[in-house]
Amino acid sequence: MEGGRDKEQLLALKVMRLTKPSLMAYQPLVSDSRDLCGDVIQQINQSDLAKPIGLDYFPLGDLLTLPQNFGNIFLGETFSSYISVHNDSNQLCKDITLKADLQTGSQRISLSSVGEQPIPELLPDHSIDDVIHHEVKELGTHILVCAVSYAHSTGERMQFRKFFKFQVLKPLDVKTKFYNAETDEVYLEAQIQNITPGPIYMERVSLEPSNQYTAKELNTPEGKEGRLYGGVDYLSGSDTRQYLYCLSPRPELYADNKVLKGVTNIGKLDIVWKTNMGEKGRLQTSQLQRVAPGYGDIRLTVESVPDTVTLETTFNIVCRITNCCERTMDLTLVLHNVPGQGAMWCGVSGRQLGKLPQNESMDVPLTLLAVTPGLQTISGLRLTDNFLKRTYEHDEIAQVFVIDEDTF
Amino acid sequence: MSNEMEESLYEDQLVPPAGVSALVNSPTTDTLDSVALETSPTDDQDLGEEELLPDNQQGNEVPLRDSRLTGLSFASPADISIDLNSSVIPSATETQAMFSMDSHPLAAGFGDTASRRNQNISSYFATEGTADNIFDSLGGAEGSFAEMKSVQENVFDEIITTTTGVTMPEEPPAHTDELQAEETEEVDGEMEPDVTHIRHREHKISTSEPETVGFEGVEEGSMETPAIADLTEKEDEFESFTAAEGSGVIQHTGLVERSDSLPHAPATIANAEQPGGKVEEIGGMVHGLSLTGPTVGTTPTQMSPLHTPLHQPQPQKSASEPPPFDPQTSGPGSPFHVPDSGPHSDNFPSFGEVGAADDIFTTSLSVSDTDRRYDAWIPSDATRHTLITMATSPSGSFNPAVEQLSSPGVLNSEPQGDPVRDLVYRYMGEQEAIRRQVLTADSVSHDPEGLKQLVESGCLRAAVDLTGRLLTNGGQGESNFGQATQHTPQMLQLWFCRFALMVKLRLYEMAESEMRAFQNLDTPDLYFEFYPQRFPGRRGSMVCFAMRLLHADLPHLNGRSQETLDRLYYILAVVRKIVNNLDSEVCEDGSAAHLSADSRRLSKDLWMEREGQVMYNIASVLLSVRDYQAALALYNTLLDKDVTRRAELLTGISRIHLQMGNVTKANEIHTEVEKLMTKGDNVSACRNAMNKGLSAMCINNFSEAYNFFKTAVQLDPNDTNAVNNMAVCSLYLGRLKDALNTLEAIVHSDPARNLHEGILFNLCTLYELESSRALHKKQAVLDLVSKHKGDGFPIACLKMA
Repeated sequence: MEGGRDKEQLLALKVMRLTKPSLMAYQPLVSDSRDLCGDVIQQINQSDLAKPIGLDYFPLGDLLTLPQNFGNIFLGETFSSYISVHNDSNQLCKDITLKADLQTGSQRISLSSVGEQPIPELLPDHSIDDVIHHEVKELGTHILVCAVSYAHSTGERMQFRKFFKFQVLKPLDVKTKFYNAETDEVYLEAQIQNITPGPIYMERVSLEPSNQYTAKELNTPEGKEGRLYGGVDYLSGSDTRQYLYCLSPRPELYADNKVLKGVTNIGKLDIVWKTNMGEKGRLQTSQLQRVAPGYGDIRLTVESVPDTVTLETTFNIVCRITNCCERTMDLTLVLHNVPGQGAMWCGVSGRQLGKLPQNESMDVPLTLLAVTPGLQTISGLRLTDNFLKRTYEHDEIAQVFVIDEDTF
Repeated sequence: MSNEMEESLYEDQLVPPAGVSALVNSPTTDTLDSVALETSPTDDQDLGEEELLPDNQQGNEVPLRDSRLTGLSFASPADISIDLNSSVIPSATETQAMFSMDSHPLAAGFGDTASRRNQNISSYFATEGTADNIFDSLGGAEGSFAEMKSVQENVFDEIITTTTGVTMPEEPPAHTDELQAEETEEVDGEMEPDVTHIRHREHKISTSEPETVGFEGVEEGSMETPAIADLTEKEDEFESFTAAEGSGVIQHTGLVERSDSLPHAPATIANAEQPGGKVEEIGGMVHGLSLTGPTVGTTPTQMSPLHTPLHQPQPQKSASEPPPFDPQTSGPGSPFHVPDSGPHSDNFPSFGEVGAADDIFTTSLSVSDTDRRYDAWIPSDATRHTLITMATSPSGSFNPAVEQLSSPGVLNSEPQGDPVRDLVYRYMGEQEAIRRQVLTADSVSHDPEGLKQLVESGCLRAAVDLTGRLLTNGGQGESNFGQATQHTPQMLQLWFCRFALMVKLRLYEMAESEMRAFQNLDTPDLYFEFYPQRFPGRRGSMVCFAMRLLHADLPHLNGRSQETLDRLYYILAVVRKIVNNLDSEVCEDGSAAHLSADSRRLSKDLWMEREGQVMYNIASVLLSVRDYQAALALYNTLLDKDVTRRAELLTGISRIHLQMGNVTKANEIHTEVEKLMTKGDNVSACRNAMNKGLSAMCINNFSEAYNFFKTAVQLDPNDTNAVNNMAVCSLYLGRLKDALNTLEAIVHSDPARNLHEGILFNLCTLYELESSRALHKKQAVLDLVSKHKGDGFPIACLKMA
């Protein structure tokens, strides 16, 4: 490290990455006092500074040790580094400037906090110290470029640069999955995988919904607090954890549009984690996008349906028919009874529903007769658009449970 | 139908964007190696190297190029979404014109098949010109649709390669075919009034496969831009960070160091000290003499040392050959007089008694109560069987095969040397090296007293040498490895001491190679019952409990933690059985002898304590493999067992939470600890300050942490740890000089006590950071070490090698 290269330079530059210090491990030797050298071994244990106070066999004490190696650095963590410019010579140096830049794949960031103004002088064996911090936002190769310039006491200008390279790795893998409920709610399942080699403590995972949605977290079991992920809330290397959210469209937006179409922004996940001695990392995902399920030209929703009906009685359901296409429709309603169907349509089939403008909806009350006990599916509703002669067959619209009251 | 169309258009998005998937698969550890920075051999202050750095122009060029890239990648998804919207409408209205518009990207794809390289751009130009062609081909054979389909896929394939981090739902691929079929029908236009079938249950709850999501504001750094490339061109110009190369200098429990860069290099220190070739050779020898078999002791189920004779090679020696006479068992004048004094002075019955007492029953009464208590052990069924056979057959007529016995021998008889002296010699010359005065195996008496003297003075290596000599004299030297021998408690104590010292010196592989001869510490000849003549009436194992724990720990120390856990749980099971026996009015080993209430109580205390020891050992292993959940569960059990140390253990548990990063939980525990210690004495106040300081440090509040540590020092000026921690905080606050002064002060104020591995490691790291004259300053530390420490000092912490 101290070859001839620095001979001409009066100043030396040293850089050390400051990851968190760690607690030194204590490794006791167990012995009985009746064993050979047992007492002496116990003495050795007792005089070890790393030994925790009052505990004989506990492996962690109070002694902090400095980082031993560069370690890993992950996206979202903070890169901290100590920079020291030391005057190794016996001469006075003048007008010292220290610049620390971080060159990433796309940009160059100035990190120095010492300031632009040159430091007027540096006495022999004195140093200029700086601790830099930078939250890492890019993957891949990073190069810390440190530039020092100064003047000899004679006035001769000197300068040198040093480069320090490191790689930024990806800590987490986030996968999402959407479940579109029959209502307009969307369930978002986020799978967060720890792809670092060690365990991480998930301090916070939250969904920041976009202005189109409100979000509800479903990650705390009812009645209890935050014990869903076990008593010790950490995620081991290559383990995956699932988070579930329920998103509902904001009613005011929904009122305008009736239907959510196409791609919408759901929001983004905000993840804060910690590792060794509180080393912190934070990442936000890009906007999660969801394609609202296409409803085709006509959307049919059931506004009301009884849960349970008595066998051989009639019951009513209300269907809402919404025109989702960009033209007016002229609709005819045909009720189609299939043999063996447990709930049969009653009333007029082939009824003219009239014109339904774009984005408008109408509620149609309908009557059915329960003919078979058990869980019955309502099917066989046909809508025909008279303009295009196109028929929309709606099956499996809803389910009712039919009971035979005589058996009770 | 349009619904399906829309979905199928997204279909190819099944594949995560190329960039992202590459990242997902990117190994997380290999890059570390490339991070390791090399010191530049060339002169980097050469002005010529300026050219390596991008000047301002180049610097600007980088973002430009980058933005063009991102521009492209963003443009492509936009293209898709426009097409999608239009595709919804025409498929419903079914007008030819709309359809042709809809198929623009397809058309573009068509016209483009020859020059697909610039598809995104050319698609715009190609649209108008090729539209007619498209219609021609549409009017033509149906086969063209198949072609279209393939083109369509190409279009999307192309786009995907430039898309970054867009989330799209996925659909089963089957839909593509449906889409094709329906489209064909529509174009033909000869269909009857068409029907759209909607099954509500099916489509409403639509789910999708998980998609990988990108992160906000993350630039793709995987591609080396010119700026980086320029900088990286000259690999060898890079400097290394201070303290960048160190690995495993100091051992940490459960920290990254263990698992990333050198996952399978445990005991680097041991390796450094022990020439690799030699260890190999020893391993080979073990196999050559393989009487034990390499599989011994991997699982608790194999605890029985008895192998089926059918599967074991017959030993070279005749099993019936009587064991060699052990000279050390003769006479009370033996140097193996146990140094223990006081209540345990009668630990080992003098050998003069041997043979005098023929009546086992009378002697059994005279056997020391303490011996019974400490030596109790429950042998495995196979060993018990052998021992019973021994006892019931006429003396001398039954001799188990050698492979069923422990046949240890000293394998490393070479002197361990003195690494401190070697360093002094290397850096400070012969004069200084000669001046170093430490005890050696030759300078003390060759007996346990001399051994004790060596250990006390920190000359652990010399002590290892001495145990080697004593064991060799006792007939268990190198040449005796693999031979049956007569064990005595004294010899086994020597072995224990030897192993303990080796572990302390981190000579783990060496310790394990010699330990192997003891198999599972359960061979019949390790029990007193094996020698009814010499130890009449005495029961139990000659192996001390601490040696069992050492034996169990060795695999872990050599990187095989699971094996250690198996062994420890076996020990725990036996210990619990013994405690159980004591509760149910029988002896420790289950025999029905009468114990006085007092003796029973003492015995139970002892074995309960041992149970705790085993549990602590298990938890330590779990912690170092970072199974925090299991480790904490054990510590919580111990919390209930060991109520007298509740505050201390809670503090320890809070350290685990801090190490994990859960500062909130640690703080909760700290509050609980404070409540437990209402006395307000100095010790607890000091502990509270330490706790708060560590918590503050974990939330990056180093100045507050510094003040807490300072408070701790004020309360207890002897708290070296707190002083050291102050120094560490000083560094993180940018005050290297303060940190150095603090550490130097504690080291010089009480070198005998404070020349500790951890503190010296910190000090030497700071020296390296401070100036180019670190070596010179380290020499001063070495001088101090040489004056105050024995040959067992872990020199790796000086980082001078």
